[in-house]
Amino acid sequence: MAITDWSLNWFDRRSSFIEECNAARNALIDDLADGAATQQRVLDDIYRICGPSQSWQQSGYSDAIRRGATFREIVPIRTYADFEPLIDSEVHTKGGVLSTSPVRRWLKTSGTTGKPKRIPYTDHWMTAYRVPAMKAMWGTFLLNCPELLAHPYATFDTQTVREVPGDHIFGVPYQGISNRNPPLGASDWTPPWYEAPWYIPSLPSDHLTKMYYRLRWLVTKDVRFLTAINPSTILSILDSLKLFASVLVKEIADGSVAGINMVAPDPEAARRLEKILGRSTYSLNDVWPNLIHYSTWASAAARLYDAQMLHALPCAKRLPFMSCGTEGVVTIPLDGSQLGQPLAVDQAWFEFIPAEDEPNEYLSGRRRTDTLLYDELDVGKEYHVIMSQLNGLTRLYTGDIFSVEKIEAGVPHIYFTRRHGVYHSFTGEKLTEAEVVSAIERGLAQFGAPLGLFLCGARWGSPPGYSIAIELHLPRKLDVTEIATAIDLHLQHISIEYASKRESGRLDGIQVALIQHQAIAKYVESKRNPGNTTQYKYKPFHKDTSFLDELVRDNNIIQGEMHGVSVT
Amino acid sequence: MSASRKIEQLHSDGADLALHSWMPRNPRAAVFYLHGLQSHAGWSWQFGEYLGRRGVALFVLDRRGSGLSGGVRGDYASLDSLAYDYHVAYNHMLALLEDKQNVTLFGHCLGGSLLGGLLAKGGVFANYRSFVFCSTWLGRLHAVLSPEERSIIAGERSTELVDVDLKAHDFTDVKKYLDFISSDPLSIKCITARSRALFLEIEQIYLERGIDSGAASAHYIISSTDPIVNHQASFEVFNAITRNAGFLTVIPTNKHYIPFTDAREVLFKRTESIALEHHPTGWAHPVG
Repeated sequence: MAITDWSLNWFDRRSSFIEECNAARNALIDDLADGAATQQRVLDDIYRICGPSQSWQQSGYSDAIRRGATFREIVPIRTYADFEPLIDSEVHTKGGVLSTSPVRRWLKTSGTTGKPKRIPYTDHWMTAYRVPAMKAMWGTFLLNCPELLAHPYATFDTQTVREVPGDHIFGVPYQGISNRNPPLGASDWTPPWYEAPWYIPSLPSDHLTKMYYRLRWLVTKDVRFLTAINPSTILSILDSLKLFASVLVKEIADGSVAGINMVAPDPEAARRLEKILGRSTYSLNDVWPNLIHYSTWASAAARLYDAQMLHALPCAKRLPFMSCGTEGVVTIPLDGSQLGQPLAVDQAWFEFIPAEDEPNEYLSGRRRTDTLLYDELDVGKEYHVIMSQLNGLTRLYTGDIFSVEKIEAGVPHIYFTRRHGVYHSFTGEKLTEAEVVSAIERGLAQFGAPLGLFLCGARWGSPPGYSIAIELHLPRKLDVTEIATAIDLHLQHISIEYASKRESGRLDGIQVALIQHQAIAKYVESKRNPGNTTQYKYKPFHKDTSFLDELVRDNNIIQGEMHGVSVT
Repeated sequence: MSASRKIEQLHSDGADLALHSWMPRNPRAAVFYLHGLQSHAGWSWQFGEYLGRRGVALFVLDRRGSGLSGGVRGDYASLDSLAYDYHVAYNHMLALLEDKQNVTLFGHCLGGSLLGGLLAKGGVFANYRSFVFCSTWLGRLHAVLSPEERSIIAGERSTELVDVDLKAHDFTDVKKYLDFISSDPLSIKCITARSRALFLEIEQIYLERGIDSGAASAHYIISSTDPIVNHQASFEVFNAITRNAGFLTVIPTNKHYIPFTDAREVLFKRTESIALEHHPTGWAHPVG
């Protein structure tokens, strides 16, 4: 597509896009004003769309509900694994098993929790739920940053991609939710830059090449808004600028793109860019001075990037991305709040279990009807989330735990805190991620260091223990042995089980390695799956210490005794 | 507006049969589809979605022994049983359509031959406006087998399994569909010997009686070249049984299973126009 063509498309789409996003956001505001009615509407829609489905008919849910039973009395709480046999059936039928809406795609999860899942992306779910959620969020972005549509090059969007789907399940595409290709009709997500030359599906889909094209088209433009799901993607833009610096400067000067003359040469812009990229350090604001808003997740793990984001975008304000997964949207931002966002009562029928309760009590059916509804939550408390989405995955136990920040107009504003479950247990210590984070935070605080990015792994040995690689950005040199001892003592204080295993010699102490600035960003980049580049998430917790091998190999350890390598 | 996708269980003569539908709100017309030998309703999802978005309902019965339906896999025991199953499914569809009369019968490959036999037999389908034979070799067994060979097949009553000997690359050259056909656990790879006898019997019915379709229009849709179907032989049969009163549509592909080729939308659009009784110039060629 010629540049002029896509620009015309951008101008054609701009006003309708604004209207759609504003309308979706206003609809969300209306729905939040009467959460009870909205939740009832969603439940009625579940009855309408799932009621006649094969699984509901065969299970007798519809008949029982017609006879007066409630949804919670009849439909069991299930994990994704419980749904797999039904998903296997739906794979053959392309709809009709879980819901009565055709399955247009299978959504592939990032696989961060094991084998990639298959989430049915149905016509109804896309049209009435998922796409309106995107539009509502972009309505908030537009409200805070109207200049994101100042001109065709104003938005640098890495949160969605267009790639030719590489995988199929029995003829139906199987792809990440970030991949919006091919478009599924007029109701699909098609922003004004949908046909932009750095966004088109004919480009190679590997992360680096995609980043090159984005930068080649945008690096000399007046970018105002940058959006990514993961903060690591924004950091990788900085890395890519370093990597492609000489190519970009040369091509901007001679007007070529990937070696082909395509645009007017701009030697002046090339000189300006060369000057910036020639510095020892620079930020994205040096490249794009008017880039004053960006968007990423603001989850607990994402916030560990805060220090690096400040370095990458010192002049930009973060607008939070929605809390969502492939399985569904949980919150949608209505403002720039960095913590809680309103529960998306228009997206699913939500139930909650107090975090201190054992989910198996509910999954086994023993406490099937004991869940709390959206208006029964307490501020400051944590809850497991159960959601019934309109793709037919009803009463899905997600394993995600959210905290309630506040309640406004009867709707809880919540934020993701952690996944349920034990991070690791060598010998009955049953450590949770939250416990380890807390110990690291307290241990570093003793030395005046803030909590930043880290990787924690279970270290197998006699006895086994835990190894933590930490990025620290402090002018003075710290002693890793002291830091490790401090974290270990805090962990013993937090977890009596850990303390008893340490005292009895069944667990070795914490080992710490201090690692180079940006080492974790590089590690995360190296783990990106070429077919699902926007989906790789930074995971602080690992079941082994193989990440250390890579950090050692790449000379990223500043100080520590790891894997037989001692750096002091 | 997308269609509602349902799988209903129908009880027919001792078996639970799966009737699949893609039903738009307030359908303008409906297509009742008879699938081929190897396939099942799960192969028709793109057809259903396309038609559904345009206000045309699609109904596909997983034939007894195929897809999600009960019965012995690959075993088609008798014409009466087959006719009754389709009759039950068809009438169920008519009830759902609240007896709207704008129905097109559509038989793909072997499904076309079965449709021919059921139409010639009579009493199975009522109140249809048009019928379509798509990628069907009408009278195939009579064309390729000698009278002696046909006599042997006609006498077969065993349930011994015979390989259907269909190759995925004759159906399509699109990788995602090749993978699907090759790995689909619901597809039929073998049929019983007595099923072949039934297929021969069905052919004989329409070859001998022809189809008295009243006011319904007859259509023959075929790939420009089809590795499985002998056009000339089949088209002669089509002309004969419809008394030269049918319409021909040629789809630009050289593969057998048109919905799994890049020409699928041409087929879908043509079917939509037949269902809605639009016959744009240049699409259909009156035969005769």
